[in-house]
Amino acid sequence: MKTFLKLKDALFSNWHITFLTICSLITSFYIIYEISLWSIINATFINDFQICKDNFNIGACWGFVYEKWETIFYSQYPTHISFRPILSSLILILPLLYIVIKKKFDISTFFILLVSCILSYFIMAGGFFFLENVDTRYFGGIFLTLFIGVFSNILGLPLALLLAFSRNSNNIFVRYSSAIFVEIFRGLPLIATLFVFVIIFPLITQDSINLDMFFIICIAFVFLNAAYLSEILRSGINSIPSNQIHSAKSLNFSKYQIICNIILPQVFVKMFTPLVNQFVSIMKESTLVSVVGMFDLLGSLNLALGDSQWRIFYIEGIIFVAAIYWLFCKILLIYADRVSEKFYKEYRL
Amino acid sequence: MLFIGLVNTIRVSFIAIILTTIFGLALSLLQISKILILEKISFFIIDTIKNIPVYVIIIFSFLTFNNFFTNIINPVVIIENVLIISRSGITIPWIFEFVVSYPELARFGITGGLDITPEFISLTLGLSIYTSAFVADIFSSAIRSFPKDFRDSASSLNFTKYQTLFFIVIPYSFRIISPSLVNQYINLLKNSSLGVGIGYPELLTVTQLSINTTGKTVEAISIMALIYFILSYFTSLFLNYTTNKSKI
Repeated sequence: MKTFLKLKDALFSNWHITFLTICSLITSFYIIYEISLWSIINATFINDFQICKDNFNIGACWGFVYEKWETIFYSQYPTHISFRPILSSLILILPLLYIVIKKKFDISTFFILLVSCILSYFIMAGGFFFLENVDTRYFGGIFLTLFIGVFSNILGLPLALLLAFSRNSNNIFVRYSSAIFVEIFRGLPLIATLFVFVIIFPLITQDSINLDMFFIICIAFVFLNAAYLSEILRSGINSIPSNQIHSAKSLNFSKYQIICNIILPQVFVKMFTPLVNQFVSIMKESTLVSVVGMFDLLGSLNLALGDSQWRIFYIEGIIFVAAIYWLFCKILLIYADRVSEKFYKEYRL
Repeated sequence: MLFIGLVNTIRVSFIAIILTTIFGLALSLLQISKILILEKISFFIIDTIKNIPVYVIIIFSFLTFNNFFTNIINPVVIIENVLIISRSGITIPWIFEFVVSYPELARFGITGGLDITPEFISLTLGLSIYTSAFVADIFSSAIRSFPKDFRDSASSLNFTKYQTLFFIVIPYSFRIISPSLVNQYINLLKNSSLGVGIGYPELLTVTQLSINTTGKTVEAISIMALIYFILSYFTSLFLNYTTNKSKI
């Protein structure tokens, strides 16, 4: 009854609020009705092109997703060994889910993700036991999105710490070189940085190292992410009061001890939410690799849309891909919320 | 050649910034309205847009507009000499070298006027929709954190609700939010380089083109980097100027 009264107060307290509520209710119900009509009631779920085409103006054709889900999920990977992309994607997803559910955030999460990254890469690449070797240019789909997201954070974090500490160092050379590195990566658009890497890397290495696109993109994302993360970490480091460090020095702590036992634990707790936000934004920005010629989730959707027959059903495909991205981002954001709540309870931040 | 790219980039980001501000303001007004259903709707919209990559939105709008415009076989005249829709986009009158040029139907296609291509429309719309979600959050948090005394004193001076909103709340909040707002605008400007994915001739596309034609990789890339740096730098200078000016 109390909630009912509260709801009544919120919805119909005033005549113009009542009017607006009714108007918005009617419009939203109309929109929801139309959307459900299009997406569920009139939709076709069979991958029969003729039925889908007859139904084109009336309802959605989820048959497109059903027909092309293999292409969307693992793009050009050889189809007779398609269990490997699924397995390696699961190896990347399950530890993430485990960490989210357990609300874990410590040094062990770092190693869990590192191990899962390495394992998933070797399962994709093969070349040992009974697994045949697959070239890295066939990597794609959901694996690539997840791998870039996780890998660039795992390797980017130590690099970012290094950059953040060197930005505060007393040595002018170290300080300025780190500042220039960070500012270049933050000043350029992400996609421009990717292009620069893709164009410049072969020029520098010439033929001495035969780097392919996959590694170049991974390195580019690690550097990019390190630059962005280092700014977050630096603001965390600067927010620690200097009297803590002075008192640690008076207790004869070494520099290494001060960093590991005093600065870092506080920085990671304080800057936890921005760090996860950066993870989410890197996850979203990994779509850009489809511009430079790797097929991530969006790129492989474009690959699937290359079939001129099914091309008219692009809306369904994009909704499907967007829903997957939404899900990943949402899971990570829920994790951020829950862990920061836990920190709030423990440390009273 | 790079100059044309720069002009196109600025054109896209300028219009997208205006649209973003309008959309973001509308969404944030929905969010702070005391009407529960409108709040939920705007929360849902913001939450959905925020968690979808910007490139997905741009590709979606590009496919939609491209489909729409390529299906037009004969040019359609909406308003004579003012608005013509054809395969190449929307044509409107424009000033070229101080002379107004009106679009006209000629024997082969359209002469005169300015073509607004489907790439331009989809890039602008995609960018502005994506950024508006972030901008809306900034606006609504600023309006929520608005001191209550100001509202009370405004109502004691017999301001109506809308007068309070437009003459007190919004001007005051603009001062607080301008750093984060300009940050989002710089992000938008940098994201406009995604036009390379849909074939809009902006700075990055043009740089790539000039690398392919001239082979001078390092020079072209450094000019591009310099231009982006200058753009972001001047935007932040402008920000500093406005914050200093609006200091109380």
